[in-house]
Amino acid sequence: MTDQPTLQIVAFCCHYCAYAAADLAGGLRLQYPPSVKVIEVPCTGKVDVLHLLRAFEHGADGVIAAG
Amino acid sequence: MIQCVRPPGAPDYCSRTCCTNTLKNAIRLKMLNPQCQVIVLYKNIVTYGFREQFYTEARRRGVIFMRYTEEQPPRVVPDNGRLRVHVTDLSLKRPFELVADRVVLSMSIAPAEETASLARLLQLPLSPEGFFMEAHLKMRPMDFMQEGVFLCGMAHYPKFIEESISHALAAAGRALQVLSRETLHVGGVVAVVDPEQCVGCLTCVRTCPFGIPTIRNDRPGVGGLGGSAYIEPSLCQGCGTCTAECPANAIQLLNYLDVQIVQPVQGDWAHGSHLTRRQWSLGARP
Repeated sequence: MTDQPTLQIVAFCCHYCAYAAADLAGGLRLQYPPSVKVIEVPCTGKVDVLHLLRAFEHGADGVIAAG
Repeated sequence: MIQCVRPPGAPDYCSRTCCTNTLKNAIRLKMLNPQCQVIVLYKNIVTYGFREQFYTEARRRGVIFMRYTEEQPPRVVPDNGRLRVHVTDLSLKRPFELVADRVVLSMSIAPAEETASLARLLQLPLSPEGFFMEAHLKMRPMDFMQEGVFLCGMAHYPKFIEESISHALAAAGRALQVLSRETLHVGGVVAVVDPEQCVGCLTCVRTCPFGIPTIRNDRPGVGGLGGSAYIEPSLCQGCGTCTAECPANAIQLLNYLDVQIVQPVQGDWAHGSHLTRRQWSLGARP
């Protein structure tokens, strides 16, 4: 790997769509950077502003709520 | 015999069973009296599966098939106690006048009259044709999205009796899954209100997509005042929307507690000791 700092991304993924898609991506042996941290939520409605802010607070460079 | 007859303004869909019934009747007439002339005016013959044999059999016995189009439908005119049918033959491109002793119409099968009111009562979806709509065409044809309600037969769409029986067996099987149990296990992912933090602001009542939370006066809220929200665990669908919306953060979704979602976020990014929710729940710590 290069010396470039890796951006840390936290992904809040809906259990029914985005998380299933990530699962499928895994099944298809598709690769995404290990710096993307997937957190499964039952529904993107579950994602609280506090969760997003807490991620930034602990050093995440970006947060994505996918669903 | 005229196929695909529907009252003006009625939705246009295939009733699936009429072509086969028409052919069955035509063959029966020819069997009883081979001299009887049977003409079928049709738009499209739908004799699916092995019913195609009825079509071959009807042609073999001399039933005449004439196709018509939506633009040039047949017209039936009474004439001194008999009926004259005017129709344009598409292959000859010539108008025909058929004198008939009997004109048999194949009307479209309409949904039962109470379908719409029953659907409203049980909050069930209807198809554009006015029949009940299943949860999934291929995977769950006997289910609704709503738990505990099942459908079969002609409530779904026009079907032959053997199709209705198969469908009914599937629906009965689904119902037995519920009825055969002494107790029902609901999913563990349900929202729970902490009454000591709840001010009864109604936010959850208004945001819940399923309308489950209620304010109950017998459950004192914050400071022992007023009522607090109550979410019936057997009804909660576990989407967690109320937990995110609650201004007092008084609602937690079991198995997705705030601490379970936030802890993985707090993992040591640089060394990759990020934990999944499941790992954290099983006791692993960053």
